[in-house]
Amino acid sequence: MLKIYDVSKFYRGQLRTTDALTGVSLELPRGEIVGIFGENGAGKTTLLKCILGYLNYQGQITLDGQPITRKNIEKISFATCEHSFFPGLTAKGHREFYKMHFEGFREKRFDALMEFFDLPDHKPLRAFSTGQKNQFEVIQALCQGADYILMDEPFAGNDLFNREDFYKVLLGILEPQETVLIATHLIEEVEHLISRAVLIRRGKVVGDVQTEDLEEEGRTLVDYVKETYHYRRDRVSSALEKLTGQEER
Amino acid sequence: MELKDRIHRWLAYEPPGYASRREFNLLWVWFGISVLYSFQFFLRLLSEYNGLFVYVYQMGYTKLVMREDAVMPPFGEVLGSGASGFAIGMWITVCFIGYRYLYHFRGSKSIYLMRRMKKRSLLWKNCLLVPLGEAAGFAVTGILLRLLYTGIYLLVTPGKCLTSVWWR
Repeated sequence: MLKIYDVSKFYRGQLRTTDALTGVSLELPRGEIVGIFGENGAGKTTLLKCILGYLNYQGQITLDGQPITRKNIEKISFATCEHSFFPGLTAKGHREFYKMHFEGFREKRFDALMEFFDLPDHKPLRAFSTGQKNQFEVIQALCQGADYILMDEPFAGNDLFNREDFYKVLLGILEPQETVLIATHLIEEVEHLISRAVLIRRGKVVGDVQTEDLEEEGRTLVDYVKETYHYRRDRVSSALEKLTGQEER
Repeated sequence: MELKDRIHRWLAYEPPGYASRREFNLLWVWFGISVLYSFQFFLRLLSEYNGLFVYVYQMGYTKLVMREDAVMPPFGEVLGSGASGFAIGMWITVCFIGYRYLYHFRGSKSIYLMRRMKKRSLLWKNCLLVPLGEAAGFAVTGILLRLLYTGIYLLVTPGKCLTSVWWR
């Protein structure tokens, strides 16, 4: 279980302090695929980075009852839109690196995913296209042998078919003890992939729902997000009215 | 473990995919330049040595005679900036420490991966060990050459032309 308890993170700027996260508490049991949604700047990436220990924060984050340290950090993997691979190293080189440094590295899964996405083995990663880089980034995260796989906008730049292929593969290969936490804007696409949705707004958790419950109520995830965000359906038409009304005058 | 294996193991400490060959090539070129630059010591030594003597015309022929006031300048003056190439080489290698660290932020953020490693020291070993070894190489070579040139200076210089502070 990944437990996040009352986590807060603020950034001290020149003129003011920004609260990136305020009192975030979540429990993520094994085996869930959780989507984290929120507007730009909501705190999704900050939350993931706090879990990974990249940022200092107030509060507590534990993994299977223990604080996250060097001893258990390899139970968490990370795929980010900023990419965390070595640009000068080939895919084959990455395979060797992971094999050397991560005890639970899944070689078979790595080879199978490389073949599935038809990624070149002997080309340095810097020569890959953006889509290929994203695919490799996710492959790394899935094959590290981690129990908790964190993904931050992993599909930015990939075409629709690529993304759909990936969702299907993800559902097929994940094992019961593996937990995935995806921060993404693609709500409609991942709705059928995830089992739980967590909404973050201005650094706070404003919604937490099982997708099964939404299905039973006959609601979509998009409806739930709009309701939780108090999205005004008429805001676009009101704005256009005001704009066109002003131009006519 | 054989020395060759030890060296190979030490050289393996580099950020994965890092262009270490380029770094080594640059340092070897600078090393060569530093050695060549240090050879100005020989030119100065020769010039100063020649300055200890003067041609004298005696009994129909010209003879090379040591001047009465012949004094060889101190070693440091003869060497001049000859060893400075090695000092600069050391600073260049120190810059490579920063360059290796910045590699983890260029093209991607591999620093995220390195900060998740079980062996915390791997990032620092990859950035520090080889450049520090390279710096040590420049330092040791600079010192050895200085000792060699000191020996040559003492061999070449007549004893009575040495000052009490010849080593400065």
